[in-house]
Amino acid sequence: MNVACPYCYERINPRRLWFRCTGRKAPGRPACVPQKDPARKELTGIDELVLPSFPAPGYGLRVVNSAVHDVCHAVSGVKVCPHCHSRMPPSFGEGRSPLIAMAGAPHTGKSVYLRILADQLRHGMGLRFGADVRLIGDEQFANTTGRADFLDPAGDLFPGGQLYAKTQPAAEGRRDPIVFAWRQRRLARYDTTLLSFFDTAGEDLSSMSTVDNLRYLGAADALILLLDPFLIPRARDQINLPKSAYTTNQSTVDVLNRVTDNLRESRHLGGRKNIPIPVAVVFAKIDAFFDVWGDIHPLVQRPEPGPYYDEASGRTTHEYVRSQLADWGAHDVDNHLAHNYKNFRYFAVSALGAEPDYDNDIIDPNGVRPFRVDEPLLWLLSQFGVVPGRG
Amino acid sequence: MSFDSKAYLRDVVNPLRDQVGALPGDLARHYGVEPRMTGADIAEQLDRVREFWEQRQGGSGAAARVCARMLDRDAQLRREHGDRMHDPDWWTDLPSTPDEADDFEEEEEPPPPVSRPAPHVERLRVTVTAEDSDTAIAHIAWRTPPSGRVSIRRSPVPPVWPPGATVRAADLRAYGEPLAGDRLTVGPESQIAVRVPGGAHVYTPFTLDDQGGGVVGEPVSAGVAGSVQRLRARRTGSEVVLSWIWPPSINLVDVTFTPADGPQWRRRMTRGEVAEQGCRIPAGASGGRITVCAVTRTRDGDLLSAPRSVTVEPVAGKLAYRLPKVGGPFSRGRSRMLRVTVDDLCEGVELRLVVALGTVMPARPDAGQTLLRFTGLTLEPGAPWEVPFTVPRRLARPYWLRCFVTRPRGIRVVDPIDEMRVS
Repeated sequence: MNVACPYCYERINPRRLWFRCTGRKAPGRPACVPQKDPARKELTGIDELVLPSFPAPGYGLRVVNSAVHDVCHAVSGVKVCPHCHSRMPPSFGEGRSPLIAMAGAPHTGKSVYLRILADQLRHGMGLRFGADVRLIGDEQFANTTGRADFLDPAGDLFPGGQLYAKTQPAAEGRRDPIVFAWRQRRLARYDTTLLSFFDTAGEDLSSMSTVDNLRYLGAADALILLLDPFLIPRARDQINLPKSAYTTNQSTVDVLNRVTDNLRESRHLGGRKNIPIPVAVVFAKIDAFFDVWGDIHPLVQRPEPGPYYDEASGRTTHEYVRSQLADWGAHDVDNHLAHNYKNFRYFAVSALGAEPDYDNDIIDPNGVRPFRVDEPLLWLLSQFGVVPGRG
Repeated sequence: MSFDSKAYLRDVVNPLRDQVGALPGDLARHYGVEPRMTGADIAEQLDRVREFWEQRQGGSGAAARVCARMLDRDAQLRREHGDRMHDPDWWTDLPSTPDEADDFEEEEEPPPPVSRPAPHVERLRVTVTAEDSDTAIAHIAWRTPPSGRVSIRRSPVPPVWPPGATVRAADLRAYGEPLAGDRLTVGPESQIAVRVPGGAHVYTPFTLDDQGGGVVGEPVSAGVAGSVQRLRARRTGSEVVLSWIWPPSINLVDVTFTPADGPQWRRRMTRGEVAEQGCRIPAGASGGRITVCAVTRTRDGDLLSAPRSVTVEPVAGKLAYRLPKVGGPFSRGRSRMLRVTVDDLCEGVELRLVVALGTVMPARPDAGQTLLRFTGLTLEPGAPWEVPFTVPRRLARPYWLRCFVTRPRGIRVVDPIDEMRVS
């Protein structure tokens, strides 16, 4: 079973990982010292001195947990990716580790959504599913927040109420992912699933040339596709939106087309087959329609949370969103998805739960009230067997 | 004994007309209780003076307001002390002259520093209760020292002197402001209740000496918690999500949901809990009133802010329906039953069963063709309402069936998604 490296997206055999020397001294041998790593620099852009990485001897189907460096003869248990030499968690390869890509047009709110989703993963999701959910990599957040708050469990989600600045486009198609380890007891043993999220800058999708560079879409095992209902004219007409709430008139189906083409090309699918990976099609900012729909509208209801993905509620939501799209005159979105994807599901979420101040990028003063943001991820996890589905 | 209401009005009530905050002066004088009175005399006097207050409080003007305040305080005293107020001994512990009650006044000229320190008050109990958004009542109690008089001063900052230090009169006067109010002696304790501005204050006891200086006691910081602002409630199905703006430095709230029917729901939540999980109230279908009070915890108990409230509207009942196939295999799923159930009595119900060709569920009744229409239905809980129907042969698959409730408004309809699509 090959899985994608959560850092460089190359497919690797989890039983054939490399190891990184610890720098300890073995008897009678000099210790290894940090040195330049051209492979790491090429694939991750990180140009720093690191201890050398080396392959481990294979033992058939057995997972190798330590190896002896043949230069210094010291034993190391530090697993790294054979391609980019990024450090892997000790449990890497012991369970499904789906790479979940996130895509969407500019200003759809991907970064905000991912931040709220990551917060929900760290707070409450472990308790709900009886799992140990841990953040093990957040280079992207560290870069955008100065590493000040995200690793701090008591830190504010949006310090000073400020939303993020727009995510910078990926350099050479690559940006560091946000990686979570989901460790859970199944039957008689523990499985660790790595969840790796990539937050694209919307601009990466705005032209075909840059879409081609987004290698991660090709490596993704699943996709969260965030769509902005404000870009659907008849939806927008129903609500009072400030002009600053939507800065582009890009069509939703154009964004879809670009993602679809990239997925087809990266998977060498041609045009005859539909794309096999599960795609959660998420309509964001849905709180803007709550007042129009009223309290009893099915999309304003929140299902009872439990230690499972509520499949019946998910199917129901899917059909209501599809129906709403038709009512908004956006049949083309549904037609495109139905004719290009084997497995997709609609979701209606709100990361903030209330309209922010779009002019100043400030959240509602009453704070954030996330609405059903976890459901797309839980559906994908249920597709991979990480969480059970019910109903 | 006779009660001279005119003299009482002139001598007791009128001097209090311009007083703001707690009523200053001698409590025994306010009640007209004199040292030589017996228990029976005191009981009779209390009845008369209370009757006087009752009569006068309903009128207008300053005297009526004074009487109303007398009654308020009297109610509190009766709750706390009951019939012990009829006991002459109970009254002998009270300050006997107005001068003693006004013992918070400082002398004009600073006396020379004292050389022998008086015992200081070691522990003050302060409980502050919000009166409105700007003011509060501070109830202060302390153990009465064996000698010296105690003055409590309120300041935004704690004193610079440590407890036990002796302070000159001029320094003492420069620190904060004295609290003036009726002083009660209850057993070994002294108590006062005064109206104070909102916000946090430091209350410091000083045991006064003969020269106007004093010995610093242990200060206590207390105040009314600031209220939450912009309280909002949004119903998402059977639960209500609350949000508000937290006052600075407040991290705890008491949330109370009082439904129109059923038991009260109460929960204390921290700022962290609200940030992580949100404040969700399992309101069900019922409406009611939600109140949020900010809480500040002190060693002497919790300080509650003035409450903020929001009303939650009830939702009408829930209507569920099913569309089971009832025909045999030759009906090809065209013969079906519309079976409707409700969880509460619904009258005047208007139903429309709509069929829409294609793969998309109709969002509105006019997005499809009406198959059935019923008006004026009365649906009762526990008694399913059923009607068979047949989808016309000319309608080719796939198609959707959906039941809409067009009247009364506000009914929550539960759609059986898996039975609605026919493909």
